[in-house]
Amino acid sequence: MKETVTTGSLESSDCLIRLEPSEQLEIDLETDVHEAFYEHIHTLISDTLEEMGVQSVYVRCKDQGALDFTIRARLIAAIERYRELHDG
Amino acid sequence: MEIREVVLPEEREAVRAFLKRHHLRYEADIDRTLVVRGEEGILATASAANDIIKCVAVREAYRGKNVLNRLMSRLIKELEADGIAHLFAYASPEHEAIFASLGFTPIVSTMNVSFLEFGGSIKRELQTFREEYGLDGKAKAAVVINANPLTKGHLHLIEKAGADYSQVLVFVVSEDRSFFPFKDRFAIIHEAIGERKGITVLPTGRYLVSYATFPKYFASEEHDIDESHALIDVLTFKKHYMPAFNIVARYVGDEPYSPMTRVYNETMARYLGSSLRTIDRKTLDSRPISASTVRKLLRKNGLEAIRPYVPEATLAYLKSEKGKQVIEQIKRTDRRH
Repeated sequence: MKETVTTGSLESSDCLIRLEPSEQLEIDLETDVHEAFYEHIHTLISDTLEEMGVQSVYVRCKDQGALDFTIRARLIAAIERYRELHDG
Repeated sequence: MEIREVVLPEEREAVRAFLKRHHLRYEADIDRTLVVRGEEGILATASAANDIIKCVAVREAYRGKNVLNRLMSRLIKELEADGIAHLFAYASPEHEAIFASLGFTPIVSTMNVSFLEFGGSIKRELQTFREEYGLDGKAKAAVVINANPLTKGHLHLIEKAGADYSQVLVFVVSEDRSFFPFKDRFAIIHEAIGERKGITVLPTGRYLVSYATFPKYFASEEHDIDESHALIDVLTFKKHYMPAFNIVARYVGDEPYSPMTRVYNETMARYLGSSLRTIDRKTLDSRPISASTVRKLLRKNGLEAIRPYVPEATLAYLKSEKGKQVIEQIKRTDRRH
């Protein structure tokens, strides 16, 4: 029944990351610091996905001004839980 | 500060009183309520009715202090754990920006209420429908039916639309809250219409005559309905469905009986203007044909009584094993849907 995985939170300096099944790799990023860091965070997410060998997933990230290591940690945790959920 | 789920009746009463101070009413269909408590008592609360978040309030002194962010994170994760990932929210328009900061996207808003979503996207869903059903950008007519069950009245409406437009979209209400299951309603229509050129049968999806956009439609009482109950649904159709599919006309049957459908039609007339085409309902011996009439006849007089009102496909279904079970259920209960 459950298909998605969510990590992190909407608290300030954190981010909420959700992974959903998808046939391709899609990243939907929304950040408080849009102008300045959008590209940076987007690259951080796609690099981390590549590093973890993820080829198809829909990533939604609602960033509340999190630092890089927070976003990375939330994403890695999400990927690991997503794999547990979908690969048994 | 701790976040807890409300379970005891006295806790629920406290939430009710807290909401009242914030000019909100604790709604009857709520099945989950969380509260944030501090030394002063309740600091904030948020509830959900299945996938709809509502009755959200934060004590004034605690606004802008991350309380709502914590509460909402928790609620989103609890709902997800139960397999509810795509969420909707009703909020007052002045709180739309706060919901947006929590990752919600506005779908439509009226003077009194904003309707938002989280973890889903109306644009994406409608885009998927367009691709799945191979729809082009040509002008189209639309018919939205629950077909609970499909009658000759529905077919008449579709024919009328087809006479005026070369392409007709027949949206079938996806929400499974009717006597006839969605899958079967959809199959009966396919069976009745066949592969007619220019007619596409598709689901309404989550944003049209759904429990999220039009909860009153599925309520057991239909007397106290007013425009505000239908408005979110009508505006969503106008703002999203019409441009996404290039729908230029929506066909409806006029409504002599049901106050619900009448109010819905009136609201559409007001907001869709000349795009709304109201068709005289098909009659049989001067009695208008409607699905509710068919259900009444089924309940009282059985299968043979409805023969003149429904197409062969509906009749064939009702004679099947599944159909018999539906008839039994209609006879056992006298709810509206």
